[in-house]
Amino acid sequence: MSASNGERRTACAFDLDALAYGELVGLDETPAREHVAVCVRCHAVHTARLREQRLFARRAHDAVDGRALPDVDALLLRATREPLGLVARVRPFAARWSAPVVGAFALLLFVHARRERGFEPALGPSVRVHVDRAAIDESAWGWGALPVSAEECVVATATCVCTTSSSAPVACAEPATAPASKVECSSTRDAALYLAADVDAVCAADAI
Amino acid sequence: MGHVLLVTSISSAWLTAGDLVDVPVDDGARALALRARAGERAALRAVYERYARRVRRFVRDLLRDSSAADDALQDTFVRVFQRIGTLEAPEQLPGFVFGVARRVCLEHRRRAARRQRHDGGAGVEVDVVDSEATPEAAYLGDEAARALDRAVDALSPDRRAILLLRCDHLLPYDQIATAMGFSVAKVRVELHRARTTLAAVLQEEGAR
Repeated sequence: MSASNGERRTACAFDLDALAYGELVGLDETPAREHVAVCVRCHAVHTARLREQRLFARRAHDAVDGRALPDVDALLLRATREPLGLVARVRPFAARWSAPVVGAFALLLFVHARRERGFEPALGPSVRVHVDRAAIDESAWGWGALPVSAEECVVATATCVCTTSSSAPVACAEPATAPASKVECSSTRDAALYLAADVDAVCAADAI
Repeated sequence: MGHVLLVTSISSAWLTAGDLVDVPVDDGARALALRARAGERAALRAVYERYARRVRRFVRDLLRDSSAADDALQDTFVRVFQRIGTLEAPEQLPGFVFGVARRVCLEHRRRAARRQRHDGGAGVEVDVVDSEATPEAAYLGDEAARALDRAVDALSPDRRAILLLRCDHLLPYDQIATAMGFSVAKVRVELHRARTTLAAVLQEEGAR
């Protein structure tokens, strides 16, 4: 608290706070008091500290609370029963978020399982139908035009007939002959046709 | 044990030579902390008896809400009892207890702010302050005490806590550093700033 321990004590290097609060003891106190008596600046600071001390002492005196304290044994019991530290902090968080997290996880599992089985539900207002690339007659179609948009793809009978905005209707191959690779083709109707033909076709639920 | 009644020799309008300032001298704190740390029930009770009233005043000053302060007092001691085994330096018991109280107050304030937000309160006031002065000040009708309360309320929570720990609870710097989780140097700087603000607000109050 004080400028002791062998360090050189210069003028105005006294701990006036410690002096005011009675923390300077023994040899440290006397020179500090002597200094305060002669140094105008330190005297002003010391006086301010004493004034502050009086203010707070009065405040503490006024704040004496006669009410009984809570029962210590009840608090000791609570201390032994309540969880401590991390557990206490995590518990309300877990209580709040466990249900949504479990729900989200279950939904993810469900979607993943459906994908594994070859059904990919497309979400959103537009209907997306995935048909095997080879389901489309390559020679008639021309790969450069792929993919086609929802407005461009019209399904007629059992054969997919697609049109592009720039060309005449293009006949596609029978869907049932489709090999592996896929192309995106959209349709707002007849999506069920692809499913009925048992091709590797995926469409949104609202299109079926 | 533990407390010395120090007669202040300050001539003041408020305190006379007969007024006493209760300066806690925690010479027994170390022994008490060692016993409490070992889980001795009587020692835990003694810790409670020793600090509960001071902690109640401290948390009430920080929260400015009597009922919240009662809850905070109980939470503080439950946590003190749970964690006293982690107290590394037994001589830091007062700083440890007030540090727990301060953290509990922070949590209470956060919860209050969250509740306010949840209730649709516009503009969340994190620092919950009663619009009225403390009951004791109102009871006494003491304008100076109310001015001091307003000045203390004008400080940021950290500075308010440091100022109160020093000026009201008379903790030495190292204990305040423990309570706040700051270095002693930072405590000194923050205390100086708190005092500057306090003086400015009190001067302003006096000028009205």
